[in-house]
Amino acid sequence: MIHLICALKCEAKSLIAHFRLKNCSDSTSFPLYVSQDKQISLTISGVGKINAAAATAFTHAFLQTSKQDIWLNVGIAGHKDLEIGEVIIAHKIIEQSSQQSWYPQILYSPPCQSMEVLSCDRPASNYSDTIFSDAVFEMEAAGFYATACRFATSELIHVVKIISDNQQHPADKISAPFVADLLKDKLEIIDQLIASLRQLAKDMDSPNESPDYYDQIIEQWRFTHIERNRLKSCLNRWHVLYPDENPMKVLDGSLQGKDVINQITNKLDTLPVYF
Amino acid sequence: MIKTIYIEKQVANHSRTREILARFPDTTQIYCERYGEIFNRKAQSFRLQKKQPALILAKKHKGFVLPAPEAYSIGAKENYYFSHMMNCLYDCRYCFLQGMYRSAHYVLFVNYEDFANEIKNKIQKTDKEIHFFSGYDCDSLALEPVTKFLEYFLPVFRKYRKALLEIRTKSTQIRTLLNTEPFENCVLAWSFTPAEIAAVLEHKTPSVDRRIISIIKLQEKGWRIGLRFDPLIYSSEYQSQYRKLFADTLQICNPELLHSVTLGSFRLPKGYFKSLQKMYPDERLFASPLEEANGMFSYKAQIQSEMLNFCREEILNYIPEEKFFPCHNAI
Repeated sequence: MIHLICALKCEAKSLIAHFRLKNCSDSTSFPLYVSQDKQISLTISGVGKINAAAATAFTHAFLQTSKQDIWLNVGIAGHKDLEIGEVIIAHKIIEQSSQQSWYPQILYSPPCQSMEVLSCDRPASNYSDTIFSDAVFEMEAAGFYATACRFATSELIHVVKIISDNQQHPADKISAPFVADLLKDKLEIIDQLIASLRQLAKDMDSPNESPDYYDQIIEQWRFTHIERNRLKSCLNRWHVLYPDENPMKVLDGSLQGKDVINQITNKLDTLPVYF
Repeated sequence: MIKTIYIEKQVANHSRTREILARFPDTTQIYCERYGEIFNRKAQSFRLQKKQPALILAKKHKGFVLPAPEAYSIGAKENYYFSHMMNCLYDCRYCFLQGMYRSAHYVLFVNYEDFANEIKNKIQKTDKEIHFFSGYDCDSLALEPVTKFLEYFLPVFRKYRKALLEIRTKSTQIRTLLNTEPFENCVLAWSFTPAEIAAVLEHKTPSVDRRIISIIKLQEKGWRIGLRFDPLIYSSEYQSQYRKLFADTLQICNPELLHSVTLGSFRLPKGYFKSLQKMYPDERLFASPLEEANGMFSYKAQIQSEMLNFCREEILNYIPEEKFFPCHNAI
């Protein structure tokens, strides 16, 4: 599943329309939208890192997200001289107040350039920082990223910013319709990014939590909790070595759970291993 | 292909750092305080990072030279290992590094001079024969064009004849070695599993045949060679597979230049094994007849013993016993 976190309704508007997301009326803490196939969600966090962190945690709890999910913070940002409408992805996020840094892992060819992103507590007006002179300025990335890393693997968590203001066009000239149009123009890049991340997520390790024949076997025999885990491990091994055979065929007699495991293991140990 | 390089600010002006960055002008170069900000943090996937590892240039502060596990010995009483890098270009399914680290990025410690000082201290403090092993936490040669590890460390050891350097590798990056005069106290040790097994388990490595060609070339130059059949991997056809491997490798070795042959069992600490099994649930290696004993996973005792005995007998058909070091378990 993909989770988008936006600070403002105007940032979210084009994404909601593009992915055909529907308002989830059960969500009362943050406005939350979900696609019909439940594969994409979007949460509107409000401005600032605390709101971004809270909205990310809320999304995780509300949707029971998994470690393999993709998380994107999408929003506007300022930079001293990047052109309005330029899209960047963060390769380093710095929290201005604490100077703590995070390093999103870009393991694919990004559809836009990557840059340092400086998360500020207040809107920046002069686009300069004594240490991070070429950073992109915004207010949510640090809160979002640090929180999302608790729920998913960092390779699938990214921050995408669209330049909305610079020294020539300062932030006080930004309007909600202008922001909505900026996002609308860059949906293709966001689509490309999501496609790359989906491809990457396919390679996440996903142990088979319910191997073939597991449900049938636990219905028929009694297992303790530990024995159930051992049975899963045993059946996964069976699946690798003996994929076309039914392990239940090797079970005979009136058995306890541990006998079932022993009989399957004994059979597995006699099977040839070829390379 | 390296696309991202992280650089610790404290080594940003190190000559080795500058040289490496100049070699990769098109990479994204990102500065950090300490490599631990990127490497081995929680919420990372070794498997995903292995698809596109970054290079991290860092400074090592302590633990330059560490005592080697007892079973690592190839004849000396004092044994140490040192690692100028963490992680490997290759992707061998049995490798303990995948279980040990959460990150697959390559960390290169550029302060070779500090390693060399510690090596010299160890050598000067003993009057015994002393061995140093490289290639424990990385492949020693695989990134040689970038790291210039050999260019720096071979002259260090050339000066100390009582200190033997073992360079462990699967690589065919031998240009530096071919351009360097060999010396007695340096052993170039290649790891092997049979070709059928290597094709399935040793991803991104040079083939067994290419490794053998590298050995032949280096022998012609006069370098001393080690053969490391480590880890031994069980298959139902292991006898024919290993018999062929021993014939292919041991027959081409010049007895004068063959320093040693070792065997190593496949064994992994329980925690590492579980991580690997979770990472690669469909991997045949982890579905093999393994058992846990004293916190280690290895082949069932009978299989292990049969394999070791078989391999020992086969190997001793080719080499004298004093060059053979069986049961050489690294972990």
